[in-house]
Amino acid sequence: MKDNTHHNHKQGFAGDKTPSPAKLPLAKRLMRLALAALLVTGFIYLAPNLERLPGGVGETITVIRESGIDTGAWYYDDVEQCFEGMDFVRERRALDHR
Amino acid sequence: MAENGNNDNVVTETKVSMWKQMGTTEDWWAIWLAGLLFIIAVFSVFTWKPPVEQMPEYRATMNQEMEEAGFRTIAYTEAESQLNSIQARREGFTATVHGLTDRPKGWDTNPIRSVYMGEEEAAAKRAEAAPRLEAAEERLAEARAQAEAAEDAARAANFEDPALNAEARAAIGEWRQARSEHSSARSAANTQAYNLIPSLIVLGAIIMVFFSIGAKFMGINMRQFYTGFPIIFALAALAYVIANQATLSAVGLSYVMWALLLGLIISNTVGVPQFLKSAGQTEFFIKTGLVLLGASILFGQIALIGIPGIFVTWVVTPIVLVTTYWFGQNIIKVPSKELNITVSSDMCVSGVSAAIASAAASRAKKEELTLAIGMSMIFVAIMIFLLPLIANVTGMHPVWAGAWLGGTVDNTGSVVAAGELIGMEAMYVAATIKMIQNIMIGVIAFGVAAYWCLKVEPERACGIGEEPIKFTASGALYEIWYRFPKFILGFIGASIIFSIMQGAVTPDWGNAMVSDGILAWANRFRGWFFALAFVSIGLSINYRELKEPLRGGKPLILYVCGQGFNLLLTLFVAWLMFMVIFRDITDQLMAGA
Repeated sequence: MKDNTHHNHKQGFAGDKTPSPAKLPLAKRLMRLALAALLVTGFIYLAPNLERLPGGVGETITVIRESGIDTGAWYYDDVEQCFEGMDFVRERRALDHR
Repeated sequence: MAENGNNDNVVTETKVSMWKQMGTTEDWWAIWLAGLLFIIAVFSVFTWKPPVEQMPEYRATMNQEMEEAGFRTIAYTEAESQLNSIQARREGFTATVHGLTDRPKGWDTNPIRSVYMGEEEAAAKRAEAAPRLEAAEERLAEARAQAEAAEDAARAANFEDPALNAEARAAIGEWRQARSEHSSARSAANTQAYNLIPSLIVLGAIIMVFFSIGAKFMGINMRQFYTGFPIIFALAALAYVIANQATLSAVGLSYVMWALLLGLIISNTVGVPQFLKSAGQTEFFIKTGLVLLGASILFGQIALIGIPGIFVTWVVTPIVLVTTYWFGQNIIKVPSKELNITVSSDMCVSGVSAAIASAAASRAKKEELTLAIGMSMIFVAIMIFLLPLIANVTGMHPVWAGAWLGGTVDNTGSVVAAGELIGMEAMYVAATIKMIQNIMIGVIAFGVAAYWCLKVEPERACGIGEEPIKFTASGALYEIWYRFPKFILGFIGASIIFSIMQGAVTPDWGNAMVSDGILAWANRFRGWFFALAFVSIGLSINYRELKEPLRGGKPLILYVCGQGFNLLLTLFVAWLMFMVIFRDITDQLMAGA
């Protein structure tokens, strides 16, 4: 992939010529980091409350969580149910196992 | 890879010999390193071999029982259990590495549980689970007795009485469910203390040394690499920890997104020191991961669900991909072709995996890949709820609904979750369709790379004053070979080799030794390599640089329009294939429902 950021970081500017974080005082940078960390931590801490969302959304999340499915898995061999699905299809279609 | 030099502001290229490329470029080192991993895995699996010689006996029992009864009997189930327990990844050195590459575990409220549980807490969990185990054992014994009685009755009638068969099938189904619950209760009652921190440290060191082999030959500053890599690995591990929070995992916010976010936070707050940039070898990590991914693309699985499955995946998907790309180029006029193809692939093929492969093949910018994946995850979270709701409210046939989900929802885990909300048959059909669609990634990546080489960037082959190459026999094939991203060949090569291997053996042997052996090993390492890659991407992006590709909202319009077309076309083709033309296959899949 192309990387067009390196040149800008070397100059200390972001794409729109405003100062990059590296040029700000250390205290300010650390404060931004702490704030971002706090936001992420807060989101994670509050995440279980997604299961209280109305309209059936919360219940759906609970059902998925209790099923143990890794919803974020993005390739089939990370998902156990894909192999179960293959067995299911083979069995129902009586495909030869030799 | 060509070296660029400047001569009076005109860029010229000096070709580097293929031998030098093989020793110094990341494309080739991705192939060498992935190949090394495969060789070690094959050696390990064949040295510490599971008892595969017992498999034919179990399979014979299963076939005999199925032939006699026409449904899964007790003997069938027990033989199946024994068969499935034969896995190369449980033996010897293979098991050691498989354990070492274990990711942080799931957790609910205490993130420490993802990497550590003390003996005291483990003992408390065992004690808490003991009554549940006792109840499960009683239930199992009762269910077994009922299943045996029902099966004996059906067997006494030579399995010719439909009513007795139905009773036996139901009783055995209850027993299988009780077995599953007993297994779960037994796991809880056997909870052991664990500490993943030492193994994560060892794993990080191993992966660092592994990549340093290639990094040395590629001319990367090794001191900076060794200094920065532990930090990147720690961030990757943290991404896994966050992603494994139970609710976040259920909503589909994968480690990829968290890895990106953690990198972005650092990059846009404290900034990224040079040693961290040297260690963040995005393309190297991604390409090595992609070659490993190629091994899991097994062409023999394409025909699993028959012609309707092939149509929904291998006919509809390319149509949607080409149409969406054309739409993006000619109607919406997305300024970046690379962003267009990355978003299109992500949306209509298989989400993150297709986005990575297309982005690497077309040499998209990191911000473009980030944008494509970010959009995909947001829409996937919506589709997990919306599509099953539509299917359930309209009373869609489970097989039709499953095919629709599998062909449209981007990520495999999300497909399975959405299918689960409809029913078992829908989930299994959806998972199988998505798996077949995953196999397309190899073809897509090759096609994108070839198209970019020949049509999009043909001027790269130019020397001063020369015309872009035309596709003629003389010299063109050499130019294509020279320009083609070599890691794609490793990606395709791994797929071909393992597809041939899988096709040359029985499915049972293939599952035990290849899928649950060599590929299980490759799969674990692959996940870590991609986590490292996405941390590295995050570290290299200033959030302001995400504004440019988002300009005018064109990628969003492209995604929405493309996904809308995908949903409608897949819905229609899935109906036509599964409900009209190949209704017999649908009936087969629903038999026993």
